[in-house]
Amino acid sequence: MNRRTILAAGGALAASALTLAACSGGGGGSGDSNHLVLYSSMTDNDLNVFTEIVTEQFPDIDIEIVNGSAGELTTRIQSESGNPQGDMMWGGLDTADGDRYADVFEHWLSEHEEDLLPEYRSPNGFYNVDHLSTVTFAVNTDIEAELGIEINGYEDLLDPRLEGRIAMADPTSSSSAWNNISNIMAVYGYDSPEAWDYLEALLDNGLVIVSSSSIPFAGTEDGEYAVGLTYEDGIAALLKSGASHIRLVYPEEGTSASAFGTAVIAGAPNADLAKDVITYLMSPEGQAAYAERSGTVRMTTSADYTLEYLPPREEITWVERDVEWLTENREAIVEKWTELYTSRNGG
Amino acid sequence: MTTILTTPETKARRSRPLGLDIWTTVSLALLLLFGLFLLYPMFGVLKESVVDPDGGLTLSHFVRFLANDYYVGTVRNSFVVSIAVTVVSLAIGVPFSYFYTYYRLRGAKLLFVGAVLSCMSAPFIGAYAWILLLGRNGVATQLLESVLPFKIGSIYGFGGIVLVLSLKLFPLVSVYMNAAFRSIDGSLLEAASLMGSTGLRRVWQVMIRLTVPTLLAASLLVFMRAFADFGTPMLIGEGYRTFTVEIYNQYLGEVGQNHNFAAAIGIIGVIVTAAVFLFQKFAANRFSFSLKAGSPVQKRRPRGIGGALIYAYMYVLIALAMLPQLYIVYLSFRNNNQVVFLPGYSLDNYRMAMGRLLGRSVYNTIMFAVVALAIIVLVSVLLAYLVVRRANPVNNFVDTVSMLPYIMPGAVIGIGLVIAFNSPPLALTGTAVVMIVMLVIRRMPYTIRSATATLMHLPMSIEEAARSLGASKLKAFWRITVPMMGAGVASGAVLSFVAIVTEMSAGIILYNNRTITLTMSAYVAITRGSYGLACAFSAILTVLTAVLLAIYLRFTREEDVRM
Repeated sequence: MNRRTILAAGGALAASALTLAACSGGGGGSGDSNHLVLYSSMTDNDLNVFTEIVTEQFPDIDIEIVNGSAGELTTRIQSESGNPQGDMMWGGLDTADGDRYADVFEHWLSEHEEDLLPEYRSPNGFYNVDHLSTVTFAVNTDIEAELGIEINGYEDLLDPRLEGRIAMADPTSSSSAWNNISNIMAVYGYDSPEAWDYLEALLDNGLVIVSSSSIPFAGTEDGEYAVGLTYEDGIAALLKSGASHIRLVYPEEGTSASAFGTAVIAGAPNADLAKDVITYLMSPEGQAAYAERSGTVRMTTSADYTLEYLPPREEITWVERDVEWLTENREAIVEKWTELYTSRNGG
Repeated sequence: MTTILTTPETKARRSRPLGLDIWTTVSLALLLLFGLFLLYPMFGVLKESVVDPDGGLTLSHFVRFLANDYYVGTVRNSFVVSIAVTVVSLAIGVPFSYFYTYYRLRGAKLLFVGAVLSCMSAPFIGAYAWILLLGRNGVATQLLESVLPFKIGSIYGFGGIVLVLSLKLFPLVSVYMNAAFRSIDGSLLEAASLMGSTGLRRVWQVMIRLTVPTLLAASLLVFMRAFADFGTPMLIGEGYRTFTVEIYNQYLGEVGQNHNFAAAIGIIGVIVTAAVFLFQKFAANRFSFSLKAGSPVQKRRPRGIGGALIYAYMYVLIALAMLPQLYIVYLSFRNNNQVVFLPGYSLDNYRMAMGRLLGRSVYNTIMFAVVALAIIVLVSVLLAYLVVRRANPVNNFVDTVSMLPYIMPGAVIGIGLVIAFNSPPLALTGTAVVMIVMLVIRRMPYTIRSATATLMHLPMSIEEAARSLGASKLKAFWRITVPMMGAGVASGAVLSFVAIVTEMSAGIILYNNRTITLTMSAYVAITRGSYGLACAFSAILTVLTAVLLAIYLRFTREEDVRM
């Protein structure tokens, strides 16, 4: 074996490695016009329904789903901007984001904006606002019975018997926790002393901050927690899948919803297909089909539909949510929250 | 070619005083590669940490970190928990090695495979299994509380992290210590006995002291792994926040994302690990000696009550370490609907996994590991040769640079690669190339160390003999040096392989649907609350690593793999 052979062997090894890597990694997806890469933070239940109704409408479509939290996915889209890998994102795009992701998504809206409830028209020109996520408590019925209490609203959460048994995701990183903080602001007054006093009291009662949005309802069903501060579709999906230890509680002081959208990723390899799919999802038929098939998610359409696992809108006490104020003050509130949380848990 | 073959070596060397030969090309190529894939991304992180939103220079991110108890607390927590994990791992790993090396135990191979397997699992999988077992409503918690008159504590927080990580990392200690104990010469122990040092006293006075260099090396390794771990504190930390979780929140969170701040936290983490690294180096220098056993100590059969206790210790420890994975494999067959485990068994979870990129995850896991490992071995052998046989400032610089990833938490490397390669001309983010580059960078230091150490112990004389018999430099290297280095490099490569397969903390920043691996699939399923699916992915990962380990053991003569 001579020098050249060895070099060639070494070079070939490295080169073939990189080629192999490049082949399996790069490119793909752009060639096939029926291949849709969907970035989504929605639950499996939601994604199954989505795949069903979209496949009925576009029989040749081949949907590839990339799961992750909204923060992970938007960061991923940003970091792939030189070589976009996804076509559309659905879920987790909170109307309170404002223009934060203006560079990440294509500025395009479906032709169905006019068919939505007026308060849920796109706030920024690229989020097609398609569904709502209402603040609710997941309450473990076994623990409730064991402790002999009934949990109906925010004041009940300050009961010392619930110390260390209430879970919420992290407001600095999770949209579901931010949704809950937003609602507490809406109920007790935006940035009011009452709102902060309440949050402080909740932390003093040992509020557990968990790492993911699914833990508050999943952990409550498991009995890890007595109450999870979460959102209605998470609980409804759990009830649909046979959960028997939790019930859905809308805080009696009032609740409100975050509105979430879907958008086309800027520079998407298959933007046209993504637009067709979003147009269908935003249409009154698509909205109703999704709502009725899932039975667990409230939509933004003005069309009528019924939900199997959620009570109708009229049975719930609603409070007004000032999305504009929350968008503007989000950073300040999160900072103040971190300070409060730190003073309780950091030292 | 012919000229080199026929020219006497001394002459060739003299005529090329700067060593302008094939090896110079190799060292320049390595310099270029490390510059592009390691220094450039790290410079990116550094830059990111000192710019403000308008692009100006600022130290405000560091000030914000240091001024806030909460953020400083995350680094302190990471540090404290890593020290605790290191101490516990040593406390359980050293006796394990001692018994393993000095006693002829039934099922020794089983114990060994169990230890390596528990080390191979992705740590968050262990964490999740322990939640199911020992959580507030865990299976074991309920069982114990129905028997015991008092409440047992919760798995969450400091204690849980230490439990999960120690059970996962102690095999690293024991693999290191197995080699060290084996290298103690029997005559030294006899001499110690003659001087009245016997039993436990002898273990402490002689054996532990003789293995201090290895103990220190193993401690550093465990510390670094625990410090950089992300999955475990993420799942069971609850209020106990570590800095890796904080980087994740700042970088990938949904609400308060601040990439500059994430970079600054990463830099602070690197400063801490660098300090620990230097401290360890300082301590290790005071104990630098090496042992080689002429007459290895004979293995004894364990007898009597002591023997029974030894068996109990070994098997209980391995059972505990394996418990999470076995439980996960069991759960992967349970019927399940998202977070709810239902009665009855089926293959539904696996069927669901097939629809969730199972094939691609398996392919990527194996492909990345093999390709990364090939590159690691190639580069390590070349670099070791350059450093040991052709030390010069350039080679020593490359060697030092190659060790940097050892002290860098995965998240920092991940962020660096994204910053460096997310735009043309090298838009690699989201491709397999960037994943492989990341794996190579992260795991190269281990193999380079073992390759260098092996080569240092090889006498130069054999190569010289080959050269004087007319072999070219490369022929001598390829046919003589490389085969002799084989065992040492292979042992380092196994450690790298383990870490590659379970890679998580940098992977989470870099992976996407095309480059997803089994570990990432399992992680995604867990965070989304699809527990059955997560169990299926984890179970496949466990089986896959077990099979690969079995194949490896089949082709290695000694069953004592050094990692």
